[in-house]
Amino acid sequence: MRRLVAPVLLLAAWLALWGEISVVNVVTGVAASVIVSFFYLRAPRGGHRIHPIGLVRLLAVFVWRLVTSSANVVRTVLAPTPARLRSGVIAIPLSDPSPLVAAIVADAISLTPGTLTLEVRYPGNDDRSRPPSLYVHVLGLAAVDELRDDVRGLERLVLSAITPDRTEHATTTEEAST
Amino acid sequence: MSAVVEVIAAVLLLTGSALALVAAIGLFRMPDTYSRIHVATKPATLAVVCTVGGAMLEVPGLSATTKLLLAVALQFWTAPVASHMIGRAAHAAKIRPDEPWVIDELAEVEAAAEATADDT
Amino acid sequence: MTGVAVACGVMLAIAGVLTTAHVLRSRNLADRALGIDMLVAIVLNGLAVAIAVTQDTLVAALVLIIGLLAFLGSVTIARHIEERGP
Repeated sequence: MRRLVAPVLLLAAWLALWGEISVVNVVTGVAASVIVSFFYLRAPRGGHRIHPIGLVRLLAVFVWRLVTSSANVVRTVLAPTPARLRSGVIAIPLSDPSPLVAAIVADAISLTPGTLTLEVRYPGNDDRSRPPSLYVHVLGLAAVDELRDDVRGLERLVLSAITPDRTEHATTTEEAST
Repeated sequence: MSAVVEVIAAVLLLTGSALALVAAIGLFRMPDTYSRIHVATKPATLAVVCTVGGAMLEVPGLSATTKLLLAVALQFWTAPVASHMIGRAAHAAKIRPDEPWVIDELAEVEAAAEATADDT
Repeated sequence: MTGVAVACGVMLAIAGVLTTAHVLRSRNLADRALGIDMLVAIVLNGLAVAIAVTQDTLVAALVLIIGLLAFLGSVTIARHIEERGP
């Protein structure tokens, strides 16, 4: 069932591009999306479970953050004060090693007022089994700890939408070996 | 086309254009590259979303509406990534602001990484 | 609707002039890449206003394509700056 997600989304995009749902469009859409999905898209390593309700909530949070960030920018541009222009780069350690979760959190941070992700680094020597740290440029630097809590809340929100099933992999291999 | 929808579409178009203007003004008022990234990309994204949304409300027919909807989704999805990539490139190319940052926690990590790389 | 079109056009034109001036006066490539991304966003805005005002949906696909290509261009310039300096 999970392998059908990509072809269905591609079919929806194809139909949206052509603008009308007719037999010809659906047939060519199915052919095109099947060809693209099964010959050009590799399955990502490590499965993630997607919760639709969490995903909708995440999308709403994204849109709300974009709106508030634009309002914040309007204030900063039309009335710049030194406090609003103070900037710095802070490190925010995450709690989950999955790169997809880190990417979505970094995306959300870039939409949040005043913050922009600059780098994502894994600790040590690019050790992928430990959670990474996001290095975030902040405009209007006020309370660093509040920012870290905000990002952790974001990460919980993302995890409630897309959970990497790493632990489940471990348990199934355990059961298979015993 | 009901009058309410027309008014909403007009408001959306005006808001989008005003946001684009604010973003352009911000390019001049911000002192360094990184703050310009903040100011230029976020309102520009919302501006495109607003104006294309206003256009979606105005045009008749489904065909153009779905294309515009795809355009909105695309812009919303790719703009933060583009802003992050420009920021990351600027940092990697050692572009720094004229006034140094108040807190800079990335410099220490990079110095440590360079030290270990020099050792090997 | 023509009043709205004129107002939007004026605002977008001023934004375009300001952004072009910024591209011309910027000292490093990252600033210019940012300015060009903004210019494309202004063009997208202008196209959307034109679609709304003239009810001509021929250019709806253009909005999508330009958005896609602009993103591709931004990412390419960013990778170039990363590897070869500003």
